[in-house]
Amino acid sequence: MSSSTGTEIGREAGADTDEAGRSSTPGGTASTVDLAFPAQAEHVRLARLVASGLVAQAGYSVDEIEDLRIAVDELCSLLVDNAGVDARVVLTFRLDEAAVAMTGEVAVPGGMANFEFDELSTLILRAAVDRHVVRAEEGRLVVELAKFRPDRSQSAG
Amino acid sequence: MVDDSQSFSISEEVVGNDATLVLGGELDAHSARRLDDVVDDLIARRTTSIVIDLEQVSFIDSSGLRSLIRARQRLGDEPQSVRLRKPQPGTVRLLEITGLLEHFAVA
Repeated sequence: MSSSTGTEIGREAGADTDEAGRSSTPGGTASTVDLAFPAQAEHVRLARLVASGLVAQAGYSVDEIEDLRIAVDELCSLLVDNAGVDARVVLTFRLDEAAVAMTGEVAVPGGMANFEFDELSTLILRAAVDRHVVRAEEGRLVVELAKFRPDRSQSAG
Repeated sequence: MVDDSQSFSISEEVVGNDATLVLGGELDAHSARRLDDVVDDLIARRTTSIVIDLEQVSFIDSSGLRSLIRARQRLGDEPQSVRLRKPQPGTVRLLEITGLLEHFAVA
């Protein structure tokens, strides 16, 4: 969709490049899905729906789906809370045989983000995913999350 | 705009100074504002304790937890000022993860 207030979803199957530099399974099949929406709290539910649908389709367990649903919610809430006026949240979900990785980013006012990430969100992310990174760069706030499949955690970590 | 009319609901019952709120759906950053408003309105009407029924809450995040904390703080931070009723396992897990379970009376 081209509307600046709309939601955009794109899917690229079999992608073998990861701009965020995340690990991938050599020779494995990866699937990348992009989602963009206005940086407003009312739209975060859509991100949860997409995340849970994707990981359910990929064969994750009910508990893992719940973990990823809460993780993407916390990711998006952090971005929305710190977003500039009229900013859009851009999410990329990448699934392969080893893990599901999510990267979210949003433009923040003032060039560098003076973001706040409270203790509750940190505790939740530590429990829900295996890796989370929050960083500010070039006028954007970027959050990366990853959850490894249990049987691949040793080789993927 | 995302229509959230089906994703969150609040109903209230007030008897004297005691109120019961029955929540349904997803308690996130968007819907938590509605809970905050309802709690503020109850306090303005001299409510001194609130039971929050969470049985029908299918999802809660840190924003929802902050609203529960806020309600308790607004009611004087007493252990029995906000009681949580029938939270789902996912809600209990989040309360445990964040160390908040011991701060609420849960029935």
